[in-house]
Amino acid sequence: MSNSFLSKLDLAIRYHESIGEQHMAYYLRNQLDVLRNITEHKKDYLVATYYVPGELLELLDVEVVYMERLAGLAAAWRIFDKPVSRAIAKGFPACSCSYQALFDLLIEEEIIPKPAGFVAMSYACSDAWTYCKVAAEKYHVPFYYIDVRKVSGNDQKLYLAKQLEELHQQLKTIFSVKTSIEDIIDASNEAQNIKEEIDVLRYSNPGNILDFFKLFPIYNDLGKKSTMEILKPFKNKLAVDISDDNRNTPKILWLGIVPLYKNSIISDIEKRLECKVVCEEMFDFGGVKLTYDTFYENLAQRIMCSRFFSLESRMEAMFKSVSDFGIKGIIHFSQRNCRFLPPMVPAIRKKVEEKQIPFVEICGDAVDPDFFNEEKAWNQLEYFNEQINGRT
Amino acid sequence: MYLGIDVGSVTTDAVLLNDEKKIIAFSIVKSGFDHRAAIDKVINDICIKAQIVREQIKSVVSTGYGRRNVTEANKVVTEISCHAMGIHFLAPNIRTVIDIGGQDSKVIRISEDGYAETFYMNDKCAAGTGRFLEVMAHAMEIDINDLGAIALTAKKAETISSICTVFAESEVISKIAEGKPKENIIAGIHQAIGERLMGMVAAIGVKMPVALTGGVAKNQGIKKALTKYLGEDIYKPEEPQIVGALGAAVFALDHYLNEINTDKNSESENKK
Repeated sequence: MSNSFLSKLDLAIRYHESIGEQHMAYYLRNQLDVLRNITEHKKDYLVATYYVPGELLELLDVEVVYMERLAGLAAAWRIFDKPVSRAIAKGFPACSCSYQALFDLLIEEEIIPKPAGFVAMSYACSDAWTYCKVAAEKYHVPFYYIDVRKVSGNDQKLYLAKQLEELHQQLKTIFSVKTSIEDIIDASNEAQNIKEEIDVLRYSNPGNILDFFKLFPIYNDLGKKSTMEILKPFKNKLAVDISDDNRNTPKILWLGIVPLYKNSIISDIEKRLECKVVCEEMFDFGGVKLTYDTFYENLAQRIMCSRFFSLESRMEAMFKSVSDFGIKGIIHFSQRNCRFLPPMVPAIRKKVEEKQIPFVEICGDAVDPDFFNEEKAWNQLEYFNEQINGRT
Repeated sequence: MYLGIDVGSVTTDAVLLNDEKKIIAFSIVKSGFDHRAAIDKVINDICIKAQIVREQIKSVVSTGYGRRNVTEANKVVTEISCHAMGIHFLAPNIRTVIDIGGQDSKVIRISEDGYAETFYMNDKCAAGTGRFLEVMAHAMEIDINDLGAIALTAKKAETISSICTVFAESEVISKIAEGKPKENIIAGIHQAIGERLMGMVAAIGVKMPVALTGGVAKNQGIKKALTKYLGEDIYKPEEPQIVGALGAAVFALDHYLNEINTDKNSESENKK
């Protein structure tokens, strides 16, 4: 296995197997299989942005790589040293999102081959679809676009559903059909049912929420049968591992993503601040199930139910977590150059401070350690701890 | 006596308070490469100035980015809390502090009792810090201590990038090449720092009155630039560099009194 990305993924799978984290091993194996198919077996693949429903693409005989997930994995395993600087040196705009910079680098440095097309949504951010459009032109491959207006209501749902259906029809003319819609619906709904059971276990002890945080991009795999192989052992493990030990430990809410090259920062915070960290739910789509007659509408509705669809829905969910888990303070990790979540910070800070909940914003970059000053972050976190514990 | 020590990236500062909460002495030394040596030096220096021996110091609180190196400390407190408390000690009406240090800058909003309500720190980039001024002074071949006074003589300020120190430096070099007056370029540099800091102020929302602390506060050009943006005069302590150490000294006194009270309480519990 000459590709360092594949080798590191393989190593990670064996590591998770050895420590009894079968769910993580399965999850990573799925990713490894996709990478093998596109690199070693030269299978065509589409690049998709995070909110493009996996069920739609799983219907077709084409591999799918979710851009943010693959960039995240590459960051976690440090496939590149200084990824942003390297991408900029290759002409990537300096003000761009580093996820996209790293993903582009994976293609440019031939870790993965050029894709057969890009499928992008205007939600969550304009940067992602703009990158996909530019990249599609650069690699001379098709670009498929779905316009998501960030307004609620039935008209918007139908508008979005129509576009999803058209996309499906369009892709069917290029790629052969692999699975029936009925099978996809069954797999997706079953996965969501297991997810709901997992949530019951997780919410019974919020200290266990971190486990699922690592798995949240599994949202992209809801239509896959293999997703059950990941969720079932995870649920079983949670049921065995769950304990009440953390019930009385102060809880801190972590908003946003974590530095992927340093995700131990969460456990470090738990140790140093003597707390349990509850991570913001990334996999939160209102539990919308799919039916055959309303397949596209359900997919559209699910996107619109995302907690990040509006500032108000994110704040509502945040304050629900504050009350459900007795949150003592809130940390927001703001991704450098991100135009999606960090712009919400001033409004969140204002509301949180009105309720006299200590709040700290840690700025950095989730995929490139060059843009994260850990020492400064700890300085801020120590002050945050002083605030929580009676100011000094 | 109660000692506060602020181990910063450029200087290590110490302030000594007596039982009446009066400043007895203060000292500022270079932090240099060896923090331990700087800490020893600042303690010796302040003891000489106050004409006391180390044993007379009842409690020590350390702060600043090298605070963990103060082995004498009874307690460690972040500089955010210390700057808030230090400025409250000097001017209790202040509600916002803009602290400009050598490597970082922060804006702290303060409650009526001198505790930090919220804060914002600069990110990894040095724009808006003392380091920014150092780089610019080097590019202009001017002593950093003269920058502020020269800025005040400018007729207009040249536009300089407030986003990035490296961009700003190349802009300064271009302006020099264009033959722009030195004082106008320097005023532009100060304006750029002001813009950067105002971005941080806006992030948490300003409450007036505002104070300026940290070594860079001694620079009159910065004060002028910030005053222009805020539209109100800014309070600058006589010695803005020691505010963090002063706050630490106040916490040292509080810590000592708390310990005494705790001991008294446990004694009376034992007697019962």
